[in-house]
Amino acid sequence: MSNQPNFYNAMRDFLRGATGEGAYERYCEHIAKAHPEVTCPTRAEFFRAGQTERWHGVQRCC
Amino acid sequence: MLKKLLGLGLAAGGALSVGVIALNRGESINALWLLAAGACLYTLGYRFYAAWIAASVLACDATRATPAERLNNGRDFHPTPRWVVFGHHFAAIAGPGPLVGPTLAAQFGYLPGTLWILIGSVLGGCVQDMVVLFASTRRNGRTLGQMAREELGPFGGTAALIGTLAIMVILIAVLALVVVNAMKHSPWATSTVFATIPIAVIVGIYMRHLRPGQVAEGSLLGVGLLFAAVIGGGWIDHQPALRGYFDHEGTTLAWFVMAYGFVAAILPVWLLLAPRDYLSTYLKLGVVALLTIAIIVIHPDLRMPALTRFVDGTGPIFAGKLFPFVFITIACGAISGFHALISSGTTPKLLRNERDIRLVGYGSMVLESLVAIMAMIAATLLEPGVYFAINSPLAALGGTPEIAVTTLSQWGFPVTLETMQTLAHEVGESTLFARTGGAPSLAVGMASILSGTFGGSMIAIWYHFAIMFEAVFILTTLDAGTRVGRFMLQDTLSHLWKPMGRTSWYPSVVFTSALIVAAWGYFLYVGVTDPNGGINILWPLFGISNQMLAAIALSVMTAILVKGARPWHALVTAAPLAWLTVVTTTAAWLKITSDNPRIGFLAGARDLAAKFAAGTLPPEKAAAAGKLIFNQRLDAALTALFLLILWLVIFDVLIIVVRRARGANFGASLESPYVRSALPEAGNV
Repeated sequence: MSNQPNFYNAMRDFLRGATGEGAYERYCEHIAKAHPEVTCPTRAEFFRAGQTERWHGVQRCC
Repeated sequence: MLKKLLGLGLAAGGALSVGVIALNRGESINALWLLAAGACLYTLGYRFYAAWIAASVLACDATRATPAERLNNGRDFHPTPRWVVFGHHFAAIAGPGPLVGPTLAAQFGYLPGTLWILIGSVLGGCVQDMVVLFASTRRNGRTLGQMAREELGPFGGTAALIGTLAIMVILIAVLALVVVNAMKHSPWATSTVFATIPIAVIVGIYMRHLRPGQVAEGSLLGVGLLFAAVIGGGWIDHQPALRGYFDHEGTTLAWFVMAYGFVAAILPVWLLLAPRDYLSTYLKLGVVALLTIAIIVIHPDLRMPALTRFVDGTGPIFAGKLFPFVFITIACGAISGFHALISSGTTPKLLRNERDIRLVGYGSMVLESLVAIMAMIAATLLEPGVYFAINSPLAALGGTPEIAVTTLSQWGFPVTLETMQTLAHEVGESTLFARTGGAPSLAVGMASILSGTFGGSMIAIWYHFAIMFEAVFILTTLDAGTRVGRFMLQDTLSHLWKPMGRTSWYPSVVFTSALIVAAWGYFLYVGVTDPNGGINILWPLFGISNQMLAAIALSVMTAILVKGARPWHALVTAAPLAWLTVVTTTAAWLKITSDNPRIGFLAGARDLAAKFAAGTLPPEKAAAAGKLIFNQRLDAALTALFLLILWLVIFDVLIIVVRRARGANFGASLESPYVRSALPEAGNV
């Protein structure tokens, strides 16, 4: 997977961001950079925690 | 120079399209004029007005670190690319509201609703969403309620809380009524809508246990199953042995919906709510894109006149004159207070740079407004007689389909029993008379657009696809709204008794969920049993509560801008606030005090009581009379409460304005301090 800024890559990044697919990789990157002493949770753990948290506030409108 | 030329061109194009829409008399007008007017006005608003607000009024600062950067935790706070934030924000604000409101408001003709959608969004709704997003971003993602408390004082906070809870209850009730009316005695629609529940559960299990986190795969699977469910529903409809299981009265369906809402609110989110939300988001984006393409391809003529005779207040779908009721009926799509709840809290935590506020806040609402325009097109391309026959309760047209067609033809909207029968048969329904709530008429409109573009023989499938699409939307709002109401109630009750606030303590969860479901379930049940269709009562109540919430949001924003360096700039929010105050106050006042029993709640109750006492009510109406009388009085009390809250909040803002003008202490606005951004967008290399 190249990271050249072409249309295909841009669309893929957009879709991964919009669907939340890339959230786990991003989180692990963040943990590695900001808190190197903490180990990243597994993908399943990450999504479980995120889903529960996400639905605590107003999420959907009329 | 180029920008000026573009501006001139757009202004000319916009003026031409609006002129054609507004001045056209007698001949039918093409739907593309509505889209063209929208394209010009939206671009003008976005390129010039929104850009000016961002630069001069709000002074968005590209070098200032956003909460997403400063508080980055990799989860809810994280800097996200602008188009991804746009997608999330649009998916969150777009619900069934902009589909239903314009459909109902089309009874005045296509002109009033269209103008209000265009002007209201460009000068009001988009501005509200954008300014709230800005204010919340400058305050670490504070919610509207928190900002109201900080900027207006404790009363403002309480008003925002009561407003949110009330609007949630009324919104869920009216949307549930829309779904129930679409499923009533329709085995195809009912079985398809029921099938969406196990489909969501399958997708939930897939995303949680089989392939954790693979949301795109899971959603694709789900969308495929939803299409299968539409086709399967058609098959069930043709099986005499099976169709009886899905052929129900409105009251039975209302109980089903209440049971569903209760179960959905106490189940874990991953099992039902989260996967359903993914599905409805994809369906929504897909359908919006599909409809736009289809309208451009077949560019239908609008058959509804620009203005109908019902601007005088005698409309069969809902009673009341053009002013103020068109501005109450179309809330979402022009301006929606509910959006302020999304713009504060969730979205600001994702913004990478303050420069993105215009695209995300203003731009998302422009798209939402376009959805409302398409709903207006779908309603007004129908033969007006057909439109009124579908959307009016039979009681308003004389009581039976036979009398209804005569009444409509006398009013100048000719329609025959055969036309209605043929149409019902084509879309796979037993009847299309009095299918109030907007969903069936929108589905007929969408089906005729989509089948005209993508396949003429499949009109029944497109119709039920459209019904399923609306139902999935609505049930998502119902799940999410019940759950939010539950959290708010738990939070409030925790002040009385601590353990009630524990969000995972089952007795509290069950108790508060049951209370919320009972609250909207009550309004739903009365709406279903009301021989006048219920929508006539509930939709104005929803409109008033939604506009009241918008007025609260605009009040908080006006207070913030007045406290700033250039208080005159507060006019950008004060002007839509003033308009909403006039509209909401007039509408609420009429709903309480009007002598016309179709408009005034109290007059309605008196009228019913008098007829009941005289024994002139038909038996089915007499049986429900007590309930209906109490309900109308309750609605009047609720409207009065909304009015009181609105004016107390406005009084709060006026105090701040006066203090500011006199140079007295007006309480500083509470922004987080400036921190320089380290991201490349801020000019760092």
